Amino acid sequence: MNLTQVLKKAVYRHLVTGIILSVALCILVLASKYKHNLIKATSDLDAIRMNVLRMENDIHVMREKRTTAIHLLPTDYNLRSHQEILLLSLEKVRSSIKEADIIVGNIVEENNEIALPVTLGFSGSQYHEGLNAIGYLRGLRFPYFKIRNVIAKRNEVGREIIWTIEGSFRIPSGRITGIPDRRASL
Amino acid sequence: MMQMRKMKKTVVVSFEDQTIRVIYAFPKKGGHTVRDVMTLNDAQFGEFLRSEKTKEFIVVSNFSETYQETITVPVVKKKYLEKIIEIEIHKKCHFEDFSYLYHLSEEKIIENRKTFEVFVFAVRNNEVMNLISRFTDMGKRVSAVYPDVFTLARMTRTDGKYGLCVSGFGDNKNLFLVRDGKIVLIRKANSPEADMTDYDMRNIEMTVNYCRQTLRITPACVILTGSLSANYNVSVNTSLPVICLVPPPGIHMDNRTILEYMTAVSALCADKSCDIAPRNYKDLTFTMEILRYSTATFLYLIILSVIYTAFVVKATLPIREEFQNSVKDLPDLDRVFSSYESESSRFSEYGSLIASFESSMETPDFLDLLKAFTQIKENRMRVDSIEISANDGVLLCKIEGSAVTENYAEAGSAYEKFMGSLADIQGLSVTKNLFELKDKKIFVEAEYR
Repeated sequence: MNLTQVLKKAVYRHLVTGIILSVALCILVLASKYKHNLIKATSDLDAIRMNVLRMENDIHVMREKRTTAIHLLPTDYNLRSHQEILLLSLEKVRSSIKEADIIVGNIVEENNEIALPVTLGFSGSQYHEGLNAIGYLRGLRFPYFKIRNVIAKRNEVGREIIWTIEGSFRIPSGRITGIPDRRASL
Repeated sequence: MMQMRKMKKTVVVSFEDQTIRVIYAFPKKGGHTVRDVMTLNDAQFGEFLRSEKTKEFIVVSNFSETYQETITVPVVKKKYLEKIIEIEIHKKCHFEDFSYLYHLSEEKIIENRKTFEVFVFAVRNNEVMNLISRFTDMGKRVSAVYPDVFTLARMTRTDGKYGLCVSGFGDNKNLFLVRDGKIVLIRKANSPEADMTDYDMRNIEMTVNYCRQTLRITPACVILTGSLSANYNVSVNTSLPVICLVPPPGIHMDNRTILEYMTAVSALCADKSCDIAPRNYKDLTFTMEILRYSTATFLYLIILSVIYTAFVVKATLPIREEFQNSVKDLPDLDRVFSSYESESSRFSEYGSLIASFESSMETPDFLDLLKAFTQIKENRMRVDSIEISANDGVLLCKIEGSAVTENYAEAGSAYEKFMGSLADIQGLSVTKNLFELKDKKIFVEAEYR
């Protein structure tokens, strides 16, 4: 065996071990990456499971809110315009809080809502009368009444309390479509 | 015993005319112990190499054709000196392809110039390679090739004096002048016999005279190497004392064989500066050495990789199982997604309505605050006016009133009780309060959250 052959053999052996080492390192890297990705995938799956639970909860919440929203709407919502609904509510207030002075402003659209500014002035001998009126206004849902200011002043002469309630009837400016027939659910 | 086996064995093969001597030496503290020796002839050597398990050998040889010369070179820096010597040797040596060794003598002044005298020794690469290929053809390696005179010279201890060494194989005798292990001159002399005879002694005398007259060096003694010490058949008187070369104290060997194997043993004292193997061969062996170490490192890394991969795979299996179980336990995603999407699209229709409705709930309730005022127990304090206004999720409240009392003390007490009642209202914090004792009037500002 001459020296060239010996050298060739040594180079060949070196190459082979180099290749085997490369393969071994590749396998090691792949195995490590696989393990790392598997851990990540498992934690991702946990996150997915949690998100699915959240989504199911969200579905439930959305369904409830939608049902609530549907019930807020008047039954004749589809037949009337928003302005009409606002004015009808004002009518109802006038009939509910008798002898009240009502000052109405212009209908305006702000923050995606249509608003009808209203100032109610009335007097009552009892404090509870004012509370009842405010309670009634707070109980309105569609349109709802947003109170801005309440003043209760005692009248020295008549021993009465003069109430002034400033606020606005408000209704979302966008028209809601596709309302299911509520007669079926009733 | 086990420890001895683990120690790296050094095998020296000495080519001495028709005889090949082999010694097996083991390192020992401060030297070597020669445990086994053998003498072979040329025909037996092939079989020896075939059966020998040792892979690496040190070779000592008495080369048949050599070139030796003493040249002078100028005193220059060390890094240039080697190059100059090489150029000079190539100029003077008649061999085409050769390897050489040199010994630098001390600085001398010749013709008013500082010079070095350099003894150079060259052999044909063919001859060295023929020697080496006898080993490599059998799959063995040669770690060094030493000319015998250099290894013997390295072993001599002359304490700064010159000594004329005599070595001989067969009918030839090598006479070489040595000082402190460095050769100054080599002469080859024919001899009628292998032993030391009067004929050889006359040759030595002539060489000593040459040294005195030409080199202006007087050797202090004649040093006989190897078997020549045992076979000393000289009857003539010598001008110099004759002594025998003995191995240095670090070499331990059977005394009966030590003279016979002196040349082989001397290789144990030599170093790489005596190696005359061709540069190409040295480069090749160096490359192969690197390849061998590199391959060994690769193998080691392969084993480590495989072990580590096994650990990784073992650790991965339970994670994989956990993952598969997680996949199995996962709910029907398509159903949930489609359900979510359809509900979202339906919900978006009512988004503005719900947002509007929820915004109405955000502000603290006027009614709650007004109801809370009914809880105030102080009858002696009359509230004249209440003003509440909404501002950024907070209700700002102003209360005016007056104490209905007969004297100031009662008014003060009523005021304190009234303020205490206000403080009891949850979410209400008084920011300003004023009590005018003269008019018994109060003014309170508060925030309700």
